[in-house]
Amino acid sequence: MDDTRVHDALERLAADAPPSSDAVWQRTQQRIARRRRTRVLVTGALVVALLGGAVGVIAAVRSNDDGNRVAANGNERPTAPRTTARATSVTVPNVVGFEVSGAHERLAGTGLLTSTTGPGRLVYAQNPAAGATAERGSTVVLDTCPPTGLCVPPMPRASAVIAVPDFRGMTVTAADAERARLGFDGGVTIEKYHGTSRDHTKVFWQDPPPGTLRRAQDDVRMWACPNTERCVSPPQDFIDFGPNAVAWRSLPMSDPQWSAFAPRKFGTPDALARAVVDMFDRAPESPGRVTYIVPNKNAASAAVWVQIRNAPDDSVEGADYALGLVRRNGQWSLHDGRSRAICLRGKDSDNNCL
Amino acid sequence: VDGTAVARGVDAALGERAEVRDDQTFAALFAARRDAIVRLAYVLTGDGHLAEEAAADAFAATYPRWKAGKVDDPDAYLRRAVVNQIRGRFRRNANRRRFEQRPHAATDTPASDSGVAERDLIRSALLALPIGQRAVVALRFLEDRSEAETAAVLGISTGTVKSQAARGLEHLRAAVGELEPGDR
Repeated sequence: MDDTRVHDALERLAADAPPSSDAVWQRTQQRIARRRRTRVLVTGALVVALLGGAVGVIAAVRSNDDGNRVAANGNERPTAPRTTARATSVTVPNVVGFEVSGAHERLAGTGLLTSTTGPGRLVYAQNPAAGATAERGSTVVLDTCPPTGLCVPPMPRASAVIAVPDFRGMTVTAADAERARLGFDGGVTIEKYHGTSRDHTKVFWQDPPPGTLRRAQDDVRMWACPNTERCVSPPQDFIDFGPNAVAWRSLPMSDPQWSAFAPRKFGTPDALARAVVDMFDRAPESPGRVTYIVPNKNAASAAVWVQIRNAPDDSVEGADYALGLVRRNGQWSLHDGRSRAICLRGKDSDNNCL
Repeated sequence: VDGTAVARGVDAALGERAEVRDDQTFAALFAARRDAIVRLAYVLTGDGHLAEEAAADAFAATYPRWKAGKVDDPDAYLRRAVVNQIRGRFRRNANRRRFEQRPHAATDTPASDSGVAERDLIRSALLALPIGQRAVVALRFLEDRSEAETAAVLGISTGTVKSQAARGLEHLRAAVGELEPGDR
């Protein structure tokens, strides 16, 4: 087969090529337009990104200038609002739920400094609160909690606490209305028989129990059935964490009240204290303090907020830790933020809990 | 009207407007090169629809660089663009499977039609070649370009053109040689 024959064969094959039509030109035009649009979008995105970066850099430089001036005066980072040469008021943005780096960036963009407390990376509270007016250059204090595991917000001030009423005996409709009237605006779970009317089904059990103090945003859970005489009290899926679960806040481990609560959940208060201390490789004599315990809605776990201080009189600042208390197969166990089991009675040679 | 004469006329017009890179000139360039590019794409893909798609992509890819004055030789640039488009398309498995599973028209053609049979053999033999060899064979033996021109268009060395052409030709000889001389 010579080159001429190949050429002829290819020519005959090429003769089958599609004839001239406007289709190719139209497709070409469409593709050119699409490329133009893409280029405009990419260019626009680049311009926005560059402008945003420039604004961030300027804000950061200003923020650093402010910090340097404070440092030059012999102080560390400022911890309270202060007056600057530019006494311009700004509105504090919300940074609750942000990571600390993101919160710092956002506040710096507004001209505010940050100071963090706690061991974690996620912001669960801020002071001043979002929407408040602060002077440019003043400091917003951020409370943080670990990025994984349970994160419990700090307890509210007394004025923000609501006494839980006795919903028992009320119809579901009336109990729900009463809950809303008192200002509970958190989640509400009503366990009742399917197909029964809210107007004729009565509450026979509630969590939190009557008389306890709760925050407005806390969850309220009620159990209801059509015939209260036949209802089983307490419900099978209810775990009693004690009448004043929130009152465990700031209760020292040495307090005798722990005897009533802790043995059932943790073994002994001392065991919990040792477990918490061991987990963080601290000296056994370091005092542990469970600040508060909040059961989760499903009652299969709870959040434990623990403070560990380096000195009995709390003179040395320690750290706060959020721990998870999990019930599995009827046994309770304490976990850190990485779901690592904390052994109450030590570990064997294979690193398993005794 | 003779298509070659039209192309020559357009080339002359393009030559006069070589420095003018507006949409009108590009439309003239498209009109002058469209058939050749689609033909090349058809030989490389064996499929009319894919050929038109690849040609449109090649023209669209050429346009911004041509308008910016970065294309010295639109002929070569368009050919390389169409080869690259087809190479990219065949890399995507979905398209390849779609193409390979698609029954070719020649499959249903009666065996007595010897011209169609030869085209089918050539097409199958070409498609069995790697895209690089296919492009070299098409430029060398369909467009009658020299080894140097083929090398310049594809951006490869003359030695590579020689070796690719030899291998491609050997494969085609084996395929077309199956036909009896009387079949042509």
